[in-house]
Amino acid sequence: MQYTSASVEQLVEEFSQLPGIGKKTALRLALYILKMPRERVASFSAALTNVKEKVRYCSICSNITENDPCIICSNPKRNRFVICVVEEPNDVLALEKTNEYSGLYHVLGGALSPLDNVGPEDLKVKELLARINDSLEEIILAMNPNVEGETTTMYLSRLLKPMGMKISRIARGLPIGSDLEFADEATLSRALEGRVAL
Amino acid sequence: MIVSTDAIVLRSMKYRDTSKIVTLYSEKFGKISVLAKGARAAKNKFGASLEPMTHSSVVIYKKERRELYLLSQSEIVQPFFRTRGEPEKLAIGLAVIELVHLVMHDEEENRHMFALLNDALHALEIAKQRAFNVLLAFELKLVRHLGFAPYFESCSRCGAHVLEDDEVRFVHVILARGSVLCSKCIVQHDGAGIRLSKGALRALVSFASAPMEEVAERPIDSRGQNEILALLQTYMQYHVAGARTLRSLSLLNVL
Ligand SMILES: [Zn+2]
Ligand SMILES: [Zn+2]
Repeated sequence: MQYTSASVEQLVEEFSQLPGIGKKTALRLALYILKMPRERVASFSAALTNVKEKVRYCSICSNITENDPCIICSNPKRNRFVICVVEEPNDVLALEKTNEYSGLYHVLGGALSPLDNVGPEDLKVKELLARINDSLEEIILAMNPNVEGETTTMYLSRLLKPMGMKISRIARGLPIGSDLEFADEATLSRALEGRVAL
Repeated sequence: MIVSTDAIVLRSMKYRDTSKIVTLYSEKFGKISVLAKGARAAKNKFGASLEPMTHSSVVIYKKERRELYLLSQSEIVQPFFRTRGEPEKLAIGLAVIELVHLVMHDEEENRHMFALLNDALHALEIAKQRAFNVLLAFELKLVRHLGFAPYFESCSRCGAHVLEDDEVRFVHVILARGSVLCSKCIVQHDGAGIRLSKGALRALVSFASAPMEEVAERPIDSRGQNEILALLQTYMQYHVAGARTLRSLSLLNVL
């Protein structure tokens, strides 16, 4: 395609780098931005910059946060004797929506997937091990109900079992192949409630 | 065009917000990629049928001038549940589908290949011991199927029947020719091959003729298994485009 503006071309190029966005959609988005009021474009571009400048990973749970430690890790009302291990920050949001869980989290940043070249060293496993101490009572494994999630559960349970605390996994009631973040609150609450010891 | 076919799921990748692009090894079309709309949502019509290693019966269609097939229905024929639940079998099953994903081309119908893959996954599911043999036999049958069958039974130089001849203690496999030299002839041959012990050779020859569901019962120790694995992987990388070390096997070290 021949662009008549280098700026538009650059914006299209940037948009099309995003997951799930093709050239056509990228062009539509770029033209939409062109029509937006100047103030809205400014606040949009500030949001983009802020997300990179202010957001970091919590030094305890590896969740995304603006304050380190994050609001969950620094909340004195949370139960510090239970850690729920999840794949992504989205999963924390989904579990928080249930209002059922009052413990802490640990965000791995993905799941084991040899085909995608993701091994244990690419996940926040070392960081998880560093959090384990004698007062910890339970670790709940809440991976996505798919083959990568199962593999990760298998790996972590083998790694953590010798350490003495209770290891459990959320119940298998979640539909296999779906993403945990899309589960409704009721299903997720039941899965958490019905967790089984490993 | 709407068609139905049996298929084994090779890979499942996230696509857009709630969809998946799934690579299948199908009975009627060989390796194909299909778009499964909404497959990651909590309520979706595909259920667990798109998880890697699953044997499913699918209905697909293709719009004109579109690259991708669209998946309209999918039902599980066999989930290979036991394989998923055991660390060793899981790693091996994932290695089997990884290999197919690597070496098979898109949209080449190959019913024999589909049957071979399906047999291997079944054999793995029912294996009570030495599940690793299934991977070795699958690799061997795959290279044979692709037209690079090695011939191991007699020495390519002196013709000695290497398994029956007590003086032959090991062989060297010559990659380029897919043949072996006996331990007596190796000294006269300048190009070195890959050394294979007689025990490993015996197992390999028996894998070639055994039906897939019986290979796990063939006796071999883990040293022999590793010898055969190393040989087959090197052999395959020499002859088959796309072949490389199977990443899924790294799971054997951590699970
Ligand atoms: Zn935190
Ligand atoms: Zn010879």
